[in-house]
Amino acid sequence: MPSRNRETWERPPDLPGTHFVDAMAYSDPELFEEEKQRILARAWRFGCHDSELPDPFDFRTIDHAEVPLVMIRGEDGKVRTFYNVCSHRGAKLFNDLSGNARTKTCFFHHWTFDWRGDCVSRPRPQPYEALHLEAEDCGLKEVATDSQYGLIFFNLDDDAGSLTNYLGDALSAFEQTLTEEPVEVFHYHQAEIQANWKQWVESNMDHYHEWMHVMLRRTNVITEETLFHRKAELHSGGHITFRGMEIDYEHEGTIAPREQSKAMPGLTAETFQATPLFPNTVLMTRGTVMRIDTTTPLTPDTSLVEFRGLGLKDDTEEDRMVRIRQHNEFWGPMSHNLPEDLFAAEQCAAGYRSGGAAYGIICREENLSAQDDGGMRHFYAEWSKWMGRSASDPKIITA
Amino acid sequence: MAVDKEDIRDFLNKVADALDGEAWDDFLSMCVPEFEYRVTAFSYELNKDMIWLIHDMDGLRSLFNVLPEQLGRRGTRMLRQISVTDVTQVGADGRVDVTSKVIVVRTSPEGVSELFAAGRYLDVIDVSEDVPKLVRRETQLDTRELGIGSHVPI
Ligand code: FES
Ligand SMILES: [Fe+2]
Repeated sequence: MPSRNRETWERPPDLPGTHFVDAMAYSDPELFEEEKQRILARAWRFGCHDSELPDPFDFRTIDHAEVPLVMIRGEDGKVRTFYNVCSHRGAKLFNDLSGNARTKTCFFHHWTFDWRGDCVSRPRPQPYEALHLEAEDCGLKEVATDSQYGLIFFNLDDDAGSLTNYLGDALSAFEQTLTEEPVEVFHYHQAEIQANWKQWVESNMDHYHEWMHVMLRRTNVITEETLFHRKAELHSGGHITFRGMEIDYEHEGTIAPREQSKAMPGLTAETFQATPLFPNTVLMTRGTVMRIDTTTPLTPDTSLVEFRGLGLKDDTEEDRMVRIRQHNEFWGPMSHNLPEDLFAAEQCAAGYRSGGAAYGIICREENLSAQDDGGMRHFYAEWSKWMGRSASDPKIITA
Repeated sequence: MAVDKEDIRDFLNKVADALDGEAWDDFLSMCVPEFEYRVTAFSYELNKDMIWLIHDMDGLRSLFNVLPEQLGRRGTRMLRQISVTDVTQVGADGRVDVTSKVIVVRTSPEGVSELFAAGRYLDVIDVSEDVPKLVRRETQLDTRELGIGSHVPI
């Protein structure tokens, strides 16, 4: 294969437009603004898990979703989301990352709000009377909120359709795991990375990178045979499920074998399964433990990734320790795999940001099995629908 | 037996030097065979304590064994600055509890340094023999944003 000059390097690959991505999609500031308006402001996005708001009046703030948000479990058990912004003069209302508050009094002029977002008191309200500014005009801005299988989603669009329609059957592979017994988040960390948000989303769909990981090379857990057990199911709405693959952890002493008794409901201890939800959340499991990634774009070149680890709420101390260890082995901030995956995303980002890389190739075809790039193609087909532009030639508006 | 705080300080500096220098065998030789190492952090998001890494001697050994093959930038260095804040003799068994503040600075191969992590070492040290040895170390992190993370124990 000869090396290329500028002309041949920058010429679009001789592939169908569905099978490659133009560098612009990762780095163009105007496209980035459009993504925020057309996708992030309109899509159902994962906020947190039920177990993060176990009791009435528990709240959880979300600081990076373009608008500051707060999710609150009401006295009626329902979770609602509000702009975390005081309706008086804009102060951030909840400053703690989590907590419990029956009502919330703004620190600034002491307007007080309840869990329905209603303004329930204003100190010395008489001077408002002349201009008829009533307390009922002073409620918080509510944001659409709904949940499925304990996963709580929000949607910044007041006219959003239902979450049920949005997800369709995308979560079916995780239904039993998430519902048969109560599930609990035991790990949370976030990482601000120097990469476009889609570069992290892709890393959970690009299985071709498997051999980058030393633990997978060394232990030979991915074999030609097991690879072909994996199938990508393409759900409508741009969601995907990768499943069918079982990992044999017994090859070498480096990774401890996993006990069947520790498998989460509906899984074996060797199950390796993932469901990327459009646009920015991925659920995955390695049998004994679950992980949820949520990627939020900050700038075209930087993203905030939240990582959650989940086990069973009623875990014995011993079982929880097993899950923690097995979570940390591949997925913790000091694990074998996660720092390698994040490194890869940042290195790819550097290639595109510099203008050096012109296209990304996603044309592997293996009947949606093994290391087929079909997951990424499915994601970009959906991206194109929302954006009205194709990812391979985003300069051209298609809708 | 009285504990010489100066000796404890020297010992912990040697441990930090071994880790900084990636002299893993030296580090392990300063630990007892039943050594336990963990990295912990408190999540204000979950209102929960978390364990981010937990290893015994075997676990650490296999971690160190794969380090040369782990993906990352060669020439990245870590520098652990410690200051001992508390030394408490626990009993007659020759073990002391030692708390130190630790600041970890990471320097890129290009020579750009940045604060990587801040936290505390909660150590149990056996001082009953000629040379002190680590029995237990908990690295309690204040910093929870570690960027792409680290393959190397903090
Ligand atoms: S800004 Fe909140 S009460 Fe005034
Ligand atoms: Fe990976």
